[in-house]
This record gives sequence, structure tokens and C-alpha cells, in this order.
Amino acid sequence: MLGIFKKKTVNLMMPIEGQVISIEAVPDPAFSQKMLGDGFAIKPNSGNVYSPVSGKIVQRFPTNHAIGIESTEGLEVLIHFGINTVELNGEGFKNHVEVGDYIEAGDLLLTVDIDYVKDHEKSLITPIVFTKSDQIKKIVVDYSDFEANQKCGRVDMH
Amino acid sequence: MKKVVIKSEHGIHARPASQIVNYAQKSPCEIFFIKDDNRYNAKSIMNIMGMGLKKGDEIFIEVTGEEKESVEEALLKLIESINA
Repeated sequence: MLGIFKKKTVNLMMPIEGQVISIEAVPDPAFSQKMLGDGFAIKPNSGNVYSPVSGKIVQRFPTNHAIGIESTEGLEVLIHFGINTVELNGEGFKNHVEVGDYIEAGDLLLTVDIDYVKDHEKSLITPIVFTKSDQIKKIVVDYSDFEANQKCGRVDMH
Repeated sequence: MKKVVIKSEHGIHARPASQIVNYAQKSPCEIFFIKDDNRYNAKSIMNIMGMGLKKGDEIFIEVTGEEKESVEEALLKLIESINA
């Protein structure tokens, strides 16, 4: 019976080497106004994208710029590499996972040619969004620089 | 059920999905999108982005609940207004 009152906390591993910034600083109102949900964002130094949590791939947009994960705890996480990168039609994005794949935190999900993205005048800023708002009690992230796969924060779930 | 064809150049990616889901979440109705016999909950960002809708795709909108017709109409207009 105590199980139902147990607090669920999901640790977040840094999915891309770079700097953690506020979701409100993302240069796209759909994200900065949290239309897709609350979260944080990354200024990437690299195009290697690893899973921030362990779980299952639940969504992969055909152009490979956005991947959805459901963590083992049930937390929904959307990684959206860059801003307006849908317009690149998948060029510069190499995907390594399929919907239904089970993944561990730290598994490589996506490789992005960041020079190609920059050459096409798209921002690399990558929102990480928790898309089911009723799951979220508290999001704690450290707004600093991280290597990939270092712990950068946590989400407390209801 | 209403049929609608996706007209937006880049399909239903993050921004349009958020517009649809934000509308759907405010509605007391149950709203599902149907494509190739699969049903997707229009109140879920992951579900709607996971449809991977591209320009030219055809979907059906299934609404259950009060004022179902006005919700269907509003969704049709919303989806048709999405151009980018």
C-alpha cells in the first residue's frame, strides 16, 4: 500500500554536450511559452544526442529532428534538436533508434551534422520537454555546462 | 467522423501539434485522430507528433461528447489553417 505514495524521481542525464539553459530562452514561442510542456533547453557543442533517461522510444518524427521517450517511470520526454529544423527534411540527421526500442540512459539516439544545421541558419538550441504536464511535480536542472551523460537534473513526478 | 487532408508544408511537427493538442485539452470531448486504422489521442503531444503526419496525408477526426459538431468544425478549421 505504501507503494502508491512512493515519490517517483527521474534523474536526467545530459543528452548533448553543452550548456543547460532555460526553456524560456528558446527562440521559438511554441517552446518558450511551454505550449509543448515545461522543461529545459541545451546549447549544444556537439551533434551526438544520447538518451537522458532509460525507457522506450515512443515517437520519432519522419525528419528525425524530434524523438519521444517514455521513461521506465512513465515520464514522457521529447527531445527536439534545433529550432525550425523540421525544414531541413531530415538532411543532416542520422537516427539510431526506432519506435518501440528499449534504451538505457546514455544510449546514442541521433547524430546531427551541426555544421549543416548552422549553414542553413537554424538555431541548434535543443528543447527537452516533458510533454505530459500532469505528471510533473517539480523540475530541477542545473543551468551550467556539462559533458554528455553527466547528471544535469531531475524530475519529481506526481 | 470528419475527414481532413494535411496541407501544411512540413506536416504536423512540434508547433502545429502543440496548437492541436492545446485546443483538444481545453475541450471536454474525447478527441481521436485516425490514420490507417490506428487511433491517436489528440490530447497527447507524443501521440500527435508520433503520427508523423506529412503534407497530403488524410486523417479522420473522431469526437465524442457534448457539442461534438462545433468541436469537429473548430478542429477542421484549425488543421486547415496550419500552413507552416
